[in-house]
Amino acid sequence: MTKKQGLRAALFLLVLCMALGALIRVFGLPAGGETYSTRRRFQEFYSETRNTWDCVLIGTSCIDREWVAPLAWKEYGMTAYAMNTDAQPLYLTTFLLDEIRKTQDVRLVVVDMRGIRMESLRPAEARVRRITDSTKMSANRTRMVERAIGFTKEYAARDDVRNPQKLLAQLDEPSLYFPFLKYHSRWKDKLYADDFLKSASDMKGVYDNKAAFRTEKVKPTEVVDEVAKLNEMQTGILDEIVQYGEDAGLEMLFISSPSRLGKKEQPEINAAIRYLEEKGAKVINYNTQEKYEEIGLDFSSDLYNDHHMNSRGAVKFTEYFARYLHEHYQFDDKRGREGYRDWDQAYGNYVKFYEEGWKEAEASK
Amino acid sequence: MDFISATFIGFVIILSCIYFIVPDKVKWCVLLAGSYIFYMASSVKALCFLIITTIVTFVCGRILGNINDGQKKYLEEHKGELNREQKKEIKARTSKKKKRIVALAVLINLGLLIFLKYFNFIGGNINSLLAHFGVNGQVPHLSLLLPLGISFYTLQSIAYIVDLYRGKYAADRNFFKFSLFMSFFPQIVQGPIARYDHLAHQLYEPHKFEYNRVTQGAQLILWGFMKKLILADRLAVAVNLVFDNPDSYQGFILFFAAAGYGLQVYADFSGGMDIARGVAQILGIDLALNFERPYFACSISEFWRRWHITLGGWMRDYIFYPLSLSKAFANLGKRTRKIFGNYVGKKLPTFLSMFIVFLLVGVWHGSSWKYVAYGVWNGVIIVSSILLDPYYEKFLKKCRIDTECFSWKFFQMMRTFVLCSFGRFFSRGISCMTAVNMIKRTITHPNPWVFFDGSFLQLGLDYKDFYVIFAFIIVLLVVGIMQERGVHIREKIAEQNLYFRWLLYIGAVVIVLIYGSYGPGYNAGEFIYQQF
Repeated sequence: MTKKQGLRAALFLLVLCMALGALIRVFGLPAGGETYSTRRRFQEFYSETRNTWDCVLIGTSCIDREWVAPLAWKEYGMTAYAMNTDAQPLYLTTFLLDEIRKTQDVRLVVVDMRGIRMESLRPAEARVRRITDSTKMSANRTRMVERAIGFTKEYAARDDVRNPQKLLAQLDEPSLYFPFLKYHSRWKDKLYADDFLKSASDMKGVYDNKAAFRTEKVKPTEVVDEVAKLNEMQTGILDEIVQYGEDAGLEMLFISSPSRLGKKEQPEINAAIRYLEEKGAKVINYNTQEKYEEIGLDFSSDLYNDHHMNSRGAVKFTEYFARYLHEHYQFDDKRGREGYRDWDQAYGNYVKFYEEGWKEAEASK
Repeated sequence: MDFISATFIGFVIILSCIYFIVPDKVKWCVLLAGSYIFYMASSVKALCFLIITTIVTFVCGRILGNINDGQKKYLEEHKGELNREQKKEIKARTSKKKKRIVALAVLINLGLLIFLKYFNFIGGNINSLLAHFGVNGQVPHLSLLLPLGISFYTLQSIAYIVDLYRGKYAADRNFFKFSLFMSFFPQIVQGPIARYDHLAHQLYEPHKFEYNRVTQGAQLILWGFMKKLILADRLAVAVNLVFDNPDSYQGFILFFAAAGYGLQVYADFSGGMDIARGVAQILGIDLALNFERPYFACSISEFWRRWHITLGGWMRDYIFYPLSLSKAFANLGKRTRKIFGNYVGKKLPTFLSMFIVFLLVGVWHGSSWKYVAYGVWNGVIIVSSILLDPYYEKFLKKCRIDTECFSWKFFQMMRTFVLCSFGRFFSRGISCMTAVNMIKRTITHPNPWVFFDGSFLQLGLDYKDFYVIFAFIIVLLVVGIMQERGVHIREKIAEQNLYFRWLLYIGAVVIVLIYGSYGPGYNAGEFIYQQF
């Protein structure tokens, strides 16, 4: 091979790699549906200015339904961003935090504990993929996938698990590591502008679905004091998160998000609260009568389904919780500072979104 | 290790790098080590069968070589002393010895193949037969391992032994080099069935890195990937659904499945061959061509000359000619000439040999009556077409049909395609009887409305998949037509501008990656002929 041929081959491989990179960017991610909104959340996270977040809220779908980051910014100049995913697997929390901390030196991590219930921990491909498919390729992502696979096997091996075979059958390990294997057939679906363009966060993680402007009269939570017994798997996950916070020097706040909770759902969450309190962790249970009243949560008008707040409920909770964060964590007021102008824009966008959303909802009645 | 896997691509890259880096003397050792690693990655247990066949073939080959050499030397030394008769007698004596060695080698190698591949089939049939007569003597059903590529390397070993018997070339004297010939990794899985005089010296000779050859090999691999992933594995979804539920379908859907299976096998097998030949080409080795656009054939016999060429060549050289030219067949011809007349008497040995060849081709594919039927189907069509040829010619002349024009050739191609497709019912059907029923329901239940009522979209493929299938068939057709016209496509591409070439290569990679049928939900990864 002559020098010229060698150079040409190297150049060709470079061009090929670039083409493949672009291809993987478009066809390595899912299209449409809920997973798509999660994917956008991550894309927006990656486009955030480095080290501008004070706090991150993680957990299940309740989080972004109840937290309006631009409101907290407007009121206190704090930057608290929701990085939840629907039915987020709690056992991936530490990996998600590792990913977030690559670009954001957050001081406080708020963890919603809804995911500690065994039913919530039951591995499902979609739940895992919402995080892993959206996370950029890295050693952390590989470890995240390994953990998801390991956890699924561990969960399936339990005696009290129904259909363990089904659980294992859903695991397509190669495509978890390389999502392109799964999503290359996206050519059959619609392509979005986000597939090709870098999307920036215009409302800082606010839930922007039309569902936020629906209202459903929900039966209020019947608060129970019953405490279930956590198994080793559950306590292990909590220990892992607490330990992670200690090792990383993070302030951790565990919460039970306010929403309607069934009688069967509460004992495990109560147990987790008790377990964490015994470990000395900071925990707030917002699913008590007293907290509902403090927040001003009205189950007849502030939710759009059993578990999720609508944007009215979200405003109530954000005002309440932002005040709590401001009082207890005293984040610097960054309003007017260089590099935070997009937060002001986000507030403006949010106000418009909120007003138009309710106007439309009223008009369609 | 599957051809269609990142592991295989990585393996080929690493092996090629090592091959081109090491000194010339040990290049063949790299190939040998690579071939054994490749084989062991598929099955360690099966390796012992490959080694047995290699040892037996090598030892018997050496003995045959020694006999050949001894005879040659003796005849040369006594050139002036021996008369014709004596020479004949010596040759006959050594021939007898050689026959015994050939018989031993064939018995062991073929015996292994028959035992592993056909024992349960034969045993099952014996049991059924005995049960018919009320005898309970049961031949046990054994769980036997079918070593990867045994059907291919066994034929390769037999060819080597028979060629030595015929004195075609000298026996290999290096066991390890011979082991490489028997196990060369690109072709051990599904052929092509190599001949020693074509392949061995290429494997033993060192090859330098040649940029153009490597790029051409890579192009061939890419083309193979396209055939396999875009067409074969996509068609497999619909084909498998129909053949696994034959009673749920009829008419044109069944015919579509059979024709689709034909295309699937072609894309799958020839795609695999392209990958094998491409890998070999990168290493500087030219493997025999196994396909020459079979669906352009105008008759079934031509189809078989274009399809799995190395198997056809093997059958011709080691079954057809020995049989049709044998004394027994000649005597048979003489006797039948008296009864059926000159034409039939003259042709009978050929027909019978041809029929046996196709029966064996059928059986070679697998241990099931459906494969026997597949062989019979092809044998009957070919023999009858030769038998009826004179009448057919007369008919065409009387009807003044121009047999040189395109429309006639096109008709012949379509006819061959349809006949081949009906044969596919046997090779892909669950059983022989199922195949017969499927053929029956294809003919007796014509349902042209399925082309318009969306029935095809119920076969696991949506209309976008059908667009891809259709588009790729057009590409295959265009490439085929160009090749038929003698255009060397890769050379033509090499003549184009760099930008166009790169665009073409990158485009091809992108097309395979996007439109390929792989990942979760697809389960058609294994090559069809790998199972034979």
